[in-house]
Amino acid sequence: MFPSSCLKSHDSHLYVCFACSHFMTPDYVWYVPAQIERRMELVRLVSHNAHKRLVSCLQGQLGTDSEKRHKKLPLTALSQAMQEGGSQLGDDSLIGKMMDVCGEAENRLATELMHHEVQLERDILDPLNQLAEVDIPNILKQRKQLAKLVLDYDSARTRWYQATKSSNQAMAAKTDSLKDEMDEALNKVEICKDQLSADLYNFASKEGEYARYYVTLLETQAEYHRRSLAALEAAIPTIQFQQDSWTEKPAFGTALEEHLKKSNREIALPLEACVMMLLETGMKEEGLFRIAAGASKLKKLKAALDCSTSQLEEFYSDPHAVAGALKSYLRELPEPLMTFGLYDEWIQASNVSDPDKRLQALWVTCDHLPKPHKVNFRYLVKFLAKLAQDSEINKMTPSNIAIVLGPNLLWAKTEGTLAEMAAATSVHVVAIIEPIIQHADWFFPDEVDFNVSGMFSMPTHPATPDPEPSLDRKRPGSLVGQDGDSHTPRKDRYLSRPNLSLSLQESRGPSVSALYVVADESITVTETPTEDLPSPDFKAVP
Amino acid sequence: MPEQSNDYRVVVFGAGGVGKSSLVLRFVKGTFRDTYIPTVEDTYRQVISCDKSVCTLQITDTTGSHQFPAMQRLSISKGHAFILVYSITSKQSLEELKPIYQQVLAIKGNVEAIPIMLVGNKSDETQREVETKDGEAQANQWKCAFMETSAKTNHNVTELFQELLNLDKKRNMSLNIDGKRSGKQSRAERLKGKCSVM
Repeated sequence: MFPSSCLKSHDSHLYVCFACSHFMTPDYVWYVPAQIERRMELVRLVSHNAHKRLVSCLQGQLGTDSEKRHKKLPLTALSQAMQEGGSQLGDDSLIGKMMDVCGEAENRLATELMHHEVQLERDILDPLNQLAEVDIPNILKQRKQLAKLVLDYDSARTRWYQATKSSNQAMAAKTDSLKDEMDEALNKVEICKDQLSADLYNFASKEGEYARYYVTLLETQAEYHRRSLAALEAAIPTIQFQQDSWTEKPAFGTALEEHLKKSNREIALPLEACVMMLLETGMKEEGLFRIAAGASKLKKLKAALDCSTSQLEEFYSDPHAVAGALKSYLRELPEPLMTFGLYDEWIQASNVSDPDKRLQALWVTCDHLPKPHKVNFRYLVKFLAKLAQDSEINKMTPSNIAIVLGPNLLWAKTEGTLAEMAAATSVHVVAIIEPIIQHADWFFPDEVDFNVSGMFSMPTHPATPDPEPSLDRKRPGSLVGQDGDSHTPRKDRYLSRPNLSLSLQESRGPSVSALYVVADESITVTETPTEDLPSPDFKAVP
Repeated sequence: MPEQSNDYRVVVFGAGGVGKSSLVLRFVKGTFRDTYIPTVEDTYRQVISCDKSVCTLQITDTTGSHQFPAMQRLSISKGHAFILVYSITSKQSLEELKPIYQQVLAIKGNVEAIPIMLVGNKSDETQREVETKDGEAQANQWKCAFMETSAKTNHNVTELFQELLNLDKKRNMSLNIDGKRSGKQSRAERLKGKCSVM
């Protein structure tokens, strides 16, 4: 009986059945299924809520014009603050430049956001509002109207029916007019029903359109994010370029190559600055590089060296702080001056037993250093050799310098995780550095002008000329006698690692006999990883 | 790791050049050398009596010139007792001990049960920068013992080590191997005698 359109689907069925009720008997006309009403109401309610929540997501004021909206955005305020900050600091300051660039980017983001919100309002918020607050209420209102008209028609019909049944003449006379009334009421019902049907058809056919709002919402948001991302990606290379082109990077803790490249230097700034200051005032200082400096002074000097514009004059009077800063610089390098790559080679070279061949091996390894490292290492070694020339006064012989400075020049990559390894390493490093300082002029025959960049004042006594600028790779005979003089008593310290266990055995032998001679006398065992050693010898003590 | 046997480990800390090695060498060898040689790290052993038997007193002489945190932490975690040395001629050297003390505190947690001796060395020097009362005040603050010594004149050196051992309440230790608590002076005499024999 129903038109085929009524059976399309369950949802539309309900509406259409109601809408096409004129095919049914009038008794059914006023029958409005409650679920239709509930459903319409539900759609209205959820649309209303979605609208409300979406509005609260907006940062701009709803309904205002785009310019005003843009001005009110928090991002705009941020952008303005940054650009003002940038202009106050000026272009000399990196922070100022960055704030300017960043402020511009934020402004672009604010514009994107404003466009996005305007679009959201136009394409989603307004239609949703229309649906929830106007369209559906109108339909519901019309339905109420229809119910009222149906009631009117019903009572008119009842009156007409009673009149036809009545035997009363007067009543019968009125039958015609009652019939007219009834017809008119029916007509109104029909009109209202048609209108309502049209609206309901409309609503049903538009469900797809209403649902589309949500697709549009996501599309709009995606587009906004894409545009924002594009704005950010356009800004990032600019700001990164600014950052990278800024030369004043801290030297401490920065890889040597990077620092040299950034600052366009040949010798690391802290190295040259410290050497120049020490040449001036530190060469006669007892225990230079050994005695610790005041922690706060050291911190201040390190910070001053990181910032090339600062004044260094005050530190001339504190050579220990200067030496400490130089040590810190070397220690804080991400890769030691003598490099991780050559670590094994250095150790191997220092293990060569023949002194001449050992020097040759060290020279070869030295020659393998990458150029920036080699140049800076040479500079430092030449300075340390010069310092050792005054060892009568400053007590810093090549051996002593190697002990206090060596561990800052070379370490294994695993240092820190294997502290015991590090302890063994220190011993090796001393054995590597000492001969290099001792024979600095053989390792590096060319004279070094310590005042490379001219940034720091000249020392009062210029570098002494190199007496032996020989390129002969053989160890100079004149130096043989000097070797070992200063550290003979401590020779046992410089045990090479592969011999470690053997040497310990040897050194323990005499200790045991001494123990028997004088039971409570001292026993000296010189070694480093003490924990690993069982001590059966001592259990023999009565 | 092998059994720790019954070693009693003492670690000596302090800034460069305050006389850590001189103190230790004076104690274990009875000698003083007026040379100037920084230390990498040395360990010395001596037999002492502990709870009526013998054990080995192991003294670790650390470096003052380049403190690698990992090595310092290792020494602290291995040590039973600590000697913190400064030079009375350098205020700075006392300052240097503060981070070391903090490190001991951080690793050992409660330091009250751990023998710690603050030592002002070079007491023979006339150019004093740190007064005795300043050292005492620092020791009070750290709740540790305090002593002034001179490795050069052998003042308070043996006493320093004996006092340190006495501070350990968990063990009954004595530098004297036969267990008799002979007078400190006579012990020093005996030491000297033995040295001359050798």
